[in-house]
Amino acid sequence: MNRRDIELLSSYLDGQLKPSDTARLEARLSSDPDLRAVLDDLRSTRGLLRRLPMRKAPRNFTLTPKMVGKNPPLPRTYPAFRFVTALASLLLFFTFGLNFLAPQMASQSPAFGMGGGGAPEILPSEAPAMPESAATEAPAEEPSIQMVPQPTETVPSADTARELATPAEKEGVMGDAPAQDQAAAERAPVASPVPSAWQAILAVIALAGALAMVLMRQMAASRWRRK
Amino acid sequence: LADPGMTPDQKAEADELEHALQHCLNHLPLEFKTVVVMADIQGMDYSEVSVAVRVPLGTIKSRLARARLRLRECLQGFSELLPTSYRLEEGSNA
Repeated sequence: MNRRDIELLSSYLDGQLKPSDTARLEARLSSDPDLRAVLDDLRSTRGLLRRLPMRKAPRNFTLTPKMVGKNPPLPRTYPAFRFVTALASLLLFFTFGLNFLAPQMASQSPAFGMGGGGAPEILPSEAPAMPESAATEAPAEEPSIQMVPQPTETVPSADTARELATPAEKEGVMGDAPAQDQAAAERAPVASPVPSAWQAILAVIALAGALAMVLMRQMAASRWRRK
Repeated sequence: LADPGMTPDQKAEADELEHALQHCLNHLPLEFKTVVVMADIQGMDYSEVSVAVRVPLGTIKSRLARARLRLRECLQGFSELLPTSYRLEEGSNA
């Protein structure tokens, strides 16, 4: 009995022999009792194995694509969308920063009476100057009052008081005007270096790009799962 | 109604048989054990085993035959422990 005979018997047991080989083996089996005994042993062994109970595996050993680290293939345009979205987001962030810093930079630069940083300092110094100017001008008015003839003192005094008031008021107003202009100039907002329209465009591009990327990923994943 | 399940004796016999078979399977070389488990226990076809293991069909036949022979020899060592109905008869020298 050699290994070749054992293989023949095992294959014969499972019906895996060609018809010609089957016929030849059956002829040998009919005349060789030892061969028949080995065949019976192999049949019994196979029978015992088939009686073994099937045990359930403790867990599922199959690997999912995710576990293997395989990702669904993405469209060729995906990297372009990713680049555009990243660039738009970066530029948007940059413009926000620029618009935020521009007023601060402008207020700190003391250039050519722009009324920037100096303006807040000017205002307090101007304010006491205003009443001072009114006070200095009021005594200047008094000699003119005294110069007016007496009979008409009362009336001219009222008039002159009125005149006093109005020039003083006028001068006060005039004194106020430059200060107000400066205050107005200070209160006027510094123009943003980047218009808000551009910011809106960049925001739309960034959002649209991100949305397109998410949709592409979802479509690729659903196609992958269907396969 | 009679219980269709195994009696305690039958259950004990089945457990002993399973223990003996498991012992002999564990002592087979891996390539032989793989083929026997797939073909005889899981009932796969020769061609299915060949594809799964990525080995030619002739090699599968050869490995299966040799594995069965080794199992037969191993189980004969358990013949005293195995129940009568499961004992392998002494065959010819293979």
